[in-house]
Amino acid sequence: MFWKSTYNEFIKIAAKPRSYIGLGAITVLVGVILFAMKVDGLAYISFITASFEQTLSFQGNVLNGNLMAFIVLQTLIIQVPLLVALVTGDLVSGEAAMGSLRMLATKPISRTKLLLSKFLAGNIYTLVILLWLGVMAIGFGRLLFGTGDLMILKSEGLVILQSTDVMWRFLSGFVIAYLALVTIATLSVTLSCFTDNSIGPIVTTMAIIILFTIIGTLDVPVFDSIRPLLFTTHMASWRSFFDDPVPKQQIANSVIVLLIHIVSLLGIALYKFNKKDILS
Amino acid sequence: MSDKIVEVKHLEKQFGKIRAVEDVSFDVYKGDVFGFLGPNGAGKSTTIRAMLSLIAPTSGTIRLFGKELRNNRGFILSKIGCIVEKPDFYQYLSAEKNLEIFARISGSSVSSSRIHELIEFVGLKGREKDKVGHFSHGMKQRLGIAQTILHDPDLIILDEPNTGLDPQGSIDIRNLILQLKNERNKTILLSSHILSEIELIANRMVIIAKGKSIIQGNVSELLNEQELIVSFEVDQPQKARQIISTNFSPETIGIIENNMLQFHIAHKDIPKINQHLLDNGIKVFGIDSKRKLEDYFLKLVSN
Amino acid sequence: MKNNCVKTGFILFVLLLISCPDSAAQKTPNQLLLNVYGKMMKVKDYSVEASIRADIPLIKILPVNAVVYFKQPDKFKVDSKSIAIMPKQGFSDLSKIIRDSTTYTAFFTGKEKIGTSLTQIISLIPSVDTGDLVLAKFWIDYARNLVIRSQLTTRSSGTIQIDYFYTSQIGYGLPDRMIFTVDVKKFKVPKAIATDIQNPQSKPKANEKDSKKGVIEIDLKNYKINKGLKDAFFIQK
Repeated sequence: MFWKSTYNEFIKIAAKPRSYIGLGAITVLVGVILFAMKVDGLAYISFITASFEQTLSFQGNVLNGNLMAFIVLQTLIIQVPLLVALVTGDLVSGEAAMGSLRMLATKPISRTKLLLSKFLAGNIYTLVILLWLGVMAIGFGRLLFGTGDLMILKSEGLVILQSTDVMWRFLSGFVIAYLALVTIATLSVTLSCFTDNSIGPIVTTMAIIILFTIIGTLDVPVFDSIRPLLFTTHMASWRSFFDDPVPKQQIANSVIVLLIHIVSLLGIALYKFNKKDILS
Repeated sequence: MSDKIVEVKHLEKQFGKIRAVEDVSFDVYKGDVFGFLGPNGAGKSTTIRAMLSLIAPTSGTIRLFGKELRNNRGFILSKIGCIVEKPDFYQYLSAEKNLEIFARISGSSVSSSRIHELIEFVGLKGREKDKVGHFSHGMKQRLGIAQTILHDPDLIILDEPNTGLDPQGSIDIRNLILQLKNERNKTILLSSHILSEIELIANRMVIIAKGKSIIQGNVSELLNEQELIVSFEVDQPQKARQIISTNFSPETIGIIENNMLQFHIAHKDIPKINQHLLDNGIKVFGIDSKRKLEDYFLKLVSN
Repeated sequence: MKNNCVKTGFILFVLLLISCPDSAAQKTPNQLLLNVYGKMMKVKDYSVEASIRADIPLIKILPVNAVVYFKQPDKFKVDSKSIAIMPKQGFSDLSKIIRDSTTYTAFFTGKEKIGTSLTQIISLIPSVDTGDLVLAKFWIDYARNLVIRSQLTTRSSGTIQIDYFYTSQIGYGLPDRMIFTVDVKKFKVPKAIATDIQNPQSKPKANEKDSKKGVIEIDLKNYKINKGLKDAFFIQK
C-alpha cells in the first residue's frame, strides 16, 4: 500500500498547478541567463579575466556550454529551494487545510506509511526539478554555446578544467545538490506537520534558510562553532567537485551533515504526524 | 443476539483544558442503522473521530469488530467507510480520479468497473470526468457516499450527512442510506442533531449531550407514542387539574403560563380527558402533544 | 713591386676583416637587428602544433595542445579545443618591433653566453614614448642571426622575458621551444564573483600570493612553412 500511496501522492503533485511554477520559473530564468550571456557573455568573461588579460590571452572557446551550465547552477541554486518548498511544504498542511487529510487518515494505511509516501513523492518532484535545471543548463547551454573547458573563478584564482574532466563533476555535483534539496524538502514537510495552513511551512522554510545563510556567511567568531552544523553551510558543497583536487573529506563531511539533518527532521515529522489529532 | 460491531466504553477526550467528551458509551450491532444524536457541541464528531483514529482518546476503550482499535487500526479501518463532517475531495481532480486515489489505499482491490458502478449508484453518471471543484454540495455529498463504499465495508459511518443540503438533497441521501441498508445489508452509524432525521431511518440510537451519553436503545421504544407530554390550554386550570388527577392519575400535573396544564398521559386518553373537562364546564382552548423524548431533546438543543 | 704587394695584402686583410663573422663588434645594432629581421622574413606564413604548459600564480590549468598560425606581418591565430593561455606579447610581434629602425633607437648593452650561444645584447628604446612598449632587449646570436632571448617591458603588462630554443627550423629562425616568464604583480581576483565567496574557510595560499612571476612553456613541432595561408583565415568569427 506504501507504493500505491506514493503513486497517489505523485498524481496529486502532478495535478496541482503550483507544481509547474517551479518548472516554468526555471525555464524562464535559464532562458534569461543564456540570452544575457549570448549577448554580453564576452564582457562578463572580460570582467573575470580583466587583470590577467593585460599579460595573457585566453584562447579557445571560453564562453562555452559548460561555463553557462555552471553560471546557471550557481545563480539558480539559491532560488530552487523556494521552488521545492512551494510544493513540499504543502504536502501535509495543504491537505489539512483542504480537509482531504481527514479522508486519507481514515484509510487503513498507517500514518507512518502515509507520511513517508508523501516524503518520497516530494523528493521525486525535487529530482524532477533538479533534472530539469540540469537539462536546461547543460543541454541548452551546450546547444547554444558549444562545449569547451570550464573556467571557474575562485578566491584563490582561476581554475580551468578540461572539458573531458567536467561532466563527472557536474553529475557528482548534482548528487550533492539533490541531497541539499532533499534536506530542504524534509524541513518543509516537517514544518507542514505542525500546522494546518498551507503558506506557513513554505514561508518558515525560507526564513530558516535565510537566517542560517546569514549566520553562515557572517565571518564572526561567535558563530564559528555552529556554522559547520548548519545545513545551509553544506548546501553549496556541490561546488567542491569543481575544485582541483576535489576535497573528498570536506564533501563527505557535508554529506554526513545533510544526511543527519534529513534523518532527524524526518524522525520529528513522523513523531508529530503520528501523534497529531486531525481536527481539520 | 446480533454481533456487536461497535463497543464504545467510557470514552473521554480532553483538548487541553476543554473536555470535549466526558463519558460516552454505546454499542452498535450488525445490521443496525444506528442514530448518534446530540445537539451541536455535544461531542458527536469528537467521538466519531476517535472511532476512526483521527484523534487519540484521553481514556476509555473503543472496540470495533471485536478488536481494540489502538492495536488493530489497519484491519478495522479496512472494514469501515466514512464521511466525517463533509467529504473533502481534491478539487483539481475529477470525480473518477478522486475515487481511484481513495480506492488505492482502501485496503481492498477496487476495479475501474466498480468505480463506475458506484458513480452510477450515487447518481453521478456522466459527471465522472468533471473536476470536483465544479460540483455542488449535494453532488460532493453523493460522491462522498460512493467513496465510503468503494471497498465494500461492513460498517459505514456518516457524520451529519445532510448538513448544507436542500430538502431534495436530504431526501436523496436518505434514500441512498436506506438502499445501503436494505439492498447491501450494511451496518450504518449516522450522527445528527435533528431527531426527525434519525427517526426516519434509524432503528437504534444514543443521545449524547455535553460529552455524555444520556440514553440508548431502540428508536421505537424511546420515541414511544404511548407516552406523551400533553398540554391543555383551559380557562380554569386549578379546577381542571383537580378533575384530571381524580379521574386519570397522571404522575404530575404542572401548570405553566397560568392557563396551561402539562402532564404525561397515553395517547389514547387525550379525547377522554378533553370530554371530561368539557362535561365539567371547563373551556378547552387548545391541546398540544409531544413525545417525551422529543421534548427532552428539544430542550437540550435549545439550551 | 714590393709596394704593390704590401698594398694588395693590406686591402685583402681589410676585406678579410670585414667579411669575418667574428667582427660583430663592427656591425651596428641596427645592422644586427636587420640581419635577424631578414631571416624572419624568409617565413611568409606558418602553422605549428603547440603544446602549452602554464605555471602561473592564481591560475590552475593542465597542459593543452593547440595549433598556432602566423602570417606576416602580424596575423596570428590559435586553434584549440581547450582553453589555452598564451602570452599577449612576444610570440609573434618580434618582427613588428624591429622591422622599422626609424621607430626606435638601438644600442649594444653587453654580451652574454646563453647555453652554447654567444650573444650580443641589444637594447631598444622606442622613439615615440606614448606607445605601450617602454623598452625591448634582445640577446642575439650574431653568428647565426638568431634571437636567443628577448625581454619586453610594456606599460600595461610589465616585463615579459622569452627564451628561444632552436633545432629543426633553425634555418628559418623558428624555435622548437619557447619559455615565457611573465610579471604577475598586477594579477587580482575579482572577489565579487568568486564562486566560493561565501566560504569563509577559503583563503589564497600564502606561497602563491608571494610569487611574482609566472611561466608558460610552449613546445612547437611539425611546422608547415610558407603554405600560402589566406588573410580571410585569420578573421575571428
